[in-house]
Amino acid sequence: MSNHKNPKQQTGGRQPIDPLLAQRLEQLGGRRPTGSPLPPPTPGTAARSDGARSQVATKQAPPRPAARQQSSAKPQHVAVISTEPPSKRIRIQGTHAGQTEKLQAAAARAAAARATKGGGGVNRGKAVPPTGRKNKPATASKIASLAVSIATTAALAGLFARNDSSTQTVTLTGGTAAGNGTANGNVAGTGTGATQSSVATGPAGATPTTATAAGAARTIKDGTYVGKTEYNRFGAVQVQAVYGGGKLTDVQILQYEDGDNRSIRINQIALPRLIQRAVAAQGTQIDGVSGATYTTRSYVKTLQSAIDAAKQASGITG
Amino acid sequence: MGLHHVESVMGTTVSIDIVDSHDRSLLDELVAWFHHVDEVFSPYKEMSTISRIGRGEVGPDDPALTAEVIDVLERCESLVVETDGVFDVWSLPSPNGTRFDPCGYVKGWSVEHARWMLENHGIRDFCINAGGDIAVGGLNHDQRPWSVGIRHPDDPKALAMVLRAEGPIGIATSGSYERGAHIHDPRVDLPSTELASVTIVGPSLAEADAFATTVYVMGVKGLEWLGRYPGYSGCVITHSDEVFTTEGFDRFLSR
Repeated sequence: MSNHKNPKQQTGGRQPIDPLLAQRLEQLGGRRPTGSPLPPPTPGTAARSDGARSQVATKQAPPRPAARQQSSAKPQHVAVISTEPPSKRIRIQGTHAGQTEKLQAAAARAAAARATKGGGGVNRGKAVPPTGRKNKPATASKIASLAVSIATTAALAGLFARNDSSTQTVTLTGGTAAGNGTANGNVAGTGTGATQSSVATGPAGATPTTATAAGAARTIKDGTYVGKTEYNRFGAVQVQAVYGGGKLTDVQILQYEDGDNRSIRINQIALPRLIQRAVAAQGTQIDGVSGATYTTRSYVKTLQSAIDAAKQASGITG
Repeated sequence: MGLHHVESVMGTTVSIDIVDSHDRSLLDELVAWFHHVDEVFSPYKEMSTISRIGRGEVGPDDPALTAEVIDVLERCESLVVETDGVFDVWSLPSPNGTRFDPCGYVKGWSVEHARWMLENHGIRDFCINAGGDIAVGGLNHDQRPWSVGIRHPDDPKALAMVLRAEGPIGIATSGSYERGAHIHDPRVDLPSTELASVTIVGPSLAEADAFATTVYVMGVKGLEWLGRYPGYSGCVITHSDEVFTTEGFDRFLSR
């Protein structure tokens, strides 16, 4: 029985048991022998009786590396950005309404300032040289903080969690030439004229600051403003900002990818097409079936015959 | 042609294919392992460690808490936090009458361990399939990527899709089609219903298995939650036959 050692465990003496787990066992009624007291429970996990569940669920335990093959410890990032796929919608939370308003006002001021300065010319999506992103003129960096706070407000923090203080940028550009290498962008949707431009840089969780660009407040025209696709070392990020009544009402993620070819962009495929493809792809052998309790060869054979029948019915030969 | 073996164990069928060896002792070792897991982790066995824990008979210093049991329990514990209570083996109705059932993690974990055993013996090309939870290594008998069918949720005789996967990789599918609605949402104490099936592909089958259950409960948006785990991708099929995949999943789909 004990000759099956777990790959991750050292042989020899037993490892100390996680205090949380020990508590769990105790809770279930398992009593430890006297004379071997548990270490004192860590703050925040103590005093769990019947309300234990919620406390466990909110405890900030460091996630264990999910991929054991992964040697480099990538920062874990929360990428839950939507509840309604495939359109990834981020609503600015009501709880941060005060902050949001402040940001919106700041954005309006900043945009107005640039509009007066830059002459309102619309810059349509010039490619930004990668090196340019490192330059952070004062205005841009202020607006950067702004965008960061918008992001934070909108539970977007995950996007920036990987920031390594070098090249992470996200643009929310409405198209005004902002006079620096970072804020060129495409205008899309219904936005026209002088609009807003903001560039996000700075570390994750940067304290929201208010952009203080001078100038008369001007209302941003209602519309949807698509940011240019930006690349960081994890992949592409693109968002769009929606304005209504002169206020930023919504930030939507259009694109978000990161390393390992993975992404939270969700594709939708029609099942019949998928099945058709599966049928077409099957030569003679399926090595295994996932989602089936019966996985013997006979089951696979049955399946195979069904596939063959389907092929025939679909007029696929071979 | 290598080795092939089918064993009825852990309440399911485990099939083992080993391409690059004829050493039958490998099979013996793996089969013994799965029976060992059955003894220790089965909620159907009254005196299994799992049943004893569920009844509150195991304290923190109980000798039954071997390294492997602790490994499983601690991972399950952290999954409660990481899934915000969605994957919670401590509040699942268990066949043994308790509220503790780690089966959703143990099956994949046991196959993952078996994979480790084979790799430790220098085996490169293999496929272990425990009731639809599949871990593959290297290439199949034809020296091509393993071809893994994903069951159609409504029709046990049909495939919804076929994945091509070169190992090492784990593929787990959760659905409500076997043994009725068996995936439980601990947050509402009811079986989940939104999705017909969820398939997760990733480096560790233990994780993939747990993630499949989690996404199943979370619904389509669970695919976005999955984004936090590097190397894992997923596909869900809804009851209205819609299919959603994460982008990383597409490279496994045969074309």
